[in-house]
Amino acid sequence: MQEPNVPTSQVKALACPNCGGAVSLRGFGHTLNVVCVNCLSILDAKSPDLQLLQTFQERQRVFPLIPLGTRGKLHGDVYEVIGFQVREIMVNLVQYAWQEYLLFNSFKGFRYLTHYDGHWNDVKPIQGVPDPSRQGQKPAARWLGETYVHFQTADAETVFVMGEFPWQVRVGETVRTADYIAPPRVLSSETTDGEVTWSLGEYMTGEHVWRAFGMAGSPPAAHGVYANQPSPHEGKTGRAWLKAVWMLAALFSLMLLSSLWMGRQEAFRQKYSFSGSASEPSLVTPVFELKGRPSNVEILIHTDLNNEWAYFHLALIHESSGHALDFGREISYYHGRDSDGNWTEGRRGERVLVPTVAAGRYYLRVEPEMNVARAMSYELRVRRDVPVNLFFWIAAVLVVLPPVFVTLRGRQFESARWMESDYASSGSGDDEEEA
Amino acid sequence: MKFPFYWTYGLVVLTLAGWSQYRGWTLTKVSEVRNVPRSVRDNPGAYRSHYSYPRYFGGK
Repeated sequence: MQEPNVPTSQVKALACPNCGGAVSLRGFGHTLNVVCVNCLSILDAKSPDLQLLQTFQERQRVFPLIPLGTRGKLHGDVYEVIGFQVREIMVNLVQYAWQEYLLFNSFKGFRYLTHYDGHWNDVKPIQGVPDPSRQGQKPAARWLGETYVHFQTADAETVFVMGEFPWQVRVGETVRTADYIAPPRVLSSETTDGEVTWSLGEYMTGEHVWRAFGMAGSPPAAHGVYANQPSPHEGKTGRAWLKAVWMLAALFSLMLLSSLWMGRQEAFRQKYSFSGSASEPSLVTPVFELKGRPSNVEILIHTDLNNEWAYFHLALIHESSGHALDFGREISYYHGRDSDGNWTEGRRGERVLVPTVAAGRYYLRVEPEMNVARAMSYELRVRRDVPVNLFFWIAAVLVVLPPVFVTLRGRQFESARWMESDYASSGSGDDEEEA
Repeated sequence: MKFPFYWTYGLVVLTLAGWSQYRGWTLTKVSEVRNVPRSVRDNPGAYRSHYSYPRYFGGK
């Protein structure tokens, strides 16, 4: 069944005055120029005998990806491809060419599909003139309450035409084009002989176009980042950071609660003296009990060292099983005064956190070591179940890693977008903010 | 970033952090020695430390 707004298939057939080939007219009263698909001559559609306006021989023929006469549905309306042109700009001595498909619906009028390197835009002329504006350092244009930031200005030359056009089309004609973007939309102006026309485009994927026009196969793959291509990271950065804030709040709450909850039970505390000349430096402490679940044990050593060092060989030994955890710590404390003023180095105390020790009766074997002629006093203190926040800080770093990654990906995408603009050296600057 | 992925990831990180606190994990390097004889209590000098530690006895 035919759609109610499908243009009727009344195609007017004429003969090309140049080659005699058939010329079809689908746009009827709207069509000013028509290009013969056989010899590519541009003809005046308004003259009864299709007067020859321009012959076209300089360039190779370009075959449109969507053939003329193809119908597709956009925004609920059926459009027919009636014209095709290739235009190009020169930027830094590099030519960039894109294709434009002219679509026609007898009730809705004309719209365009533009295609560049796998990126498509659905473009509609607008009635009115956007207001000039600025965003940061860049010129901008405001249209229907939205700000479009200037992206690129260039002189576009028409290099190939085919089909029908509602304007006087010529190969070789140039217009001044300026693009302003607010992804996924682009506001474009074309200036020629003092006349400015504006159009509004919206980014489409090749898959969307192929579905709309019922095309077989796959569309050309998109390469790079197009001016008004919506960022796949749009909005993700803010959401990721919001989640990170919630997780950090939960993490620090957990850290605070565990700090309040952990016992810090003191299991042993005693003072000792040591001389470097002692014949037997080692000693064992009385047995003490470590209670509760397997948890850490903190051993604090505090000395009265003064411009001296000491080393403590320590072993936490389970009384009945003989299972020992062996470790050691150097303590040194120096101070003095020189040309820079007072200085200190090291400290008089040290702490050891022994991980995950099961409950039971333990004792410490202590073997101090220091210069032979020196002596010191020291205190040993053993505490059970002491909060250690190191892993919470590591967790905090791990929690913020994904949002950092998402932020960098978003910036990378915007950077790639603006690399193709007139502002390539300055990057996206303040214009890469998320909507 | 998918909603469940990040929440799941965060939950795992938080659980590990909480579990590390509960179990008393630390980064301290210790050497384990099994079957230390009871005689060490009477003769502490008979025990030989198995722990090696980078030692620097400095001063300005």
